[in-house]
Amino acid sequence: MGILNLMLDDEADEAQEEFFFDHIEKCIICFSHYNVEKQIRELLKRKLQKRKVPTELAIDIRNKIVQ
Amino acid sequence: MTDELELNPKSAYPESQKVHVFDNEFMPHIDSMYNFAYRLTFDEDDSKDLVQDTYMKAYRFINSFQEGTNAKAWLYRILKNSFINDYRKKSKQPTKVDYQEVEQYYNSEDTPKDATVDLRMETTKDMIGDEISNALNSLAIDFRTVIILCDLEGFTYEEMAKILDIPIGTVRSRLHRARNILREKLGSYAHSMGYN
Repeated sequence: MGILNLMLDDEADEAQEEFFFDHIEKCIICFSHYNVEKQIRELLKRKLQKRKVPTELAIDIRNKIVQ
Repeated sequence: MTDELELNPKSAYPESQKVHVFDNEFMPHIDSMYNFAYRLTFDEDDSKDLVQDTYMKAYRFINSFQEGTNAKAWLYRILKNSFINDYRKKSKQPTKVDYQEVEQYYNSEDTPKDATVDLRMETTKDMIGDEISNALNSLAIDFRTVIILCDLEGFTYEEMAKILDIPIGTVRSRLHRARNILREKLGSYAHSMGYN
């Protein structure tokens, strides 16, 4: 489970990665857990609204620092 | 934060160079900073103030920033600290979850194995932005922050530890607790929609 978390966070090293992929071929619990977590991560990235900073704010900030 | 910035000058930029560093290293991250501010405050005016304060501080203490190092992480750190010090107290948003309570409940780094059945892949693909957003926004600020930093912004454990001023082990455990809670929240939503 520790390695699973490292995998999800892109922090596993090569040996851990190899162990993990070998393990999920045999363990359906870890396999489905990994997939669900990956899916949630994808959802967060894809579906959360990304706001553009209001243009006047960027201009205000820029003006303040060059004053 | 401010004291620490003043105590650690790493550079001594001439005036003209300061603006150059500001424009090239700090300004490209302004959309990310605004989004982070909004996800902390849920308020457009507060987000604007928070971003402006962050950039003013970044400029004032620009000598503490070394060109070519991770400007984005540095700005996140300033924004997070400004939020904690100046905004959290006056935040209009009441704390929805008691952190201690949640931490005690999820006091193991291991995820309960049956938690995976709360949410299945086929249910998550039908979820829309609002549901995801509500689930994320309902997390306590410390948990919401690690999810934003890791999953949305792609910071490493090490970068997150620096931004949040906590040990890497705490980053890991907080992140995994946050994931468990988020999955449960999405799972209950899926359940209420008749899945599972």
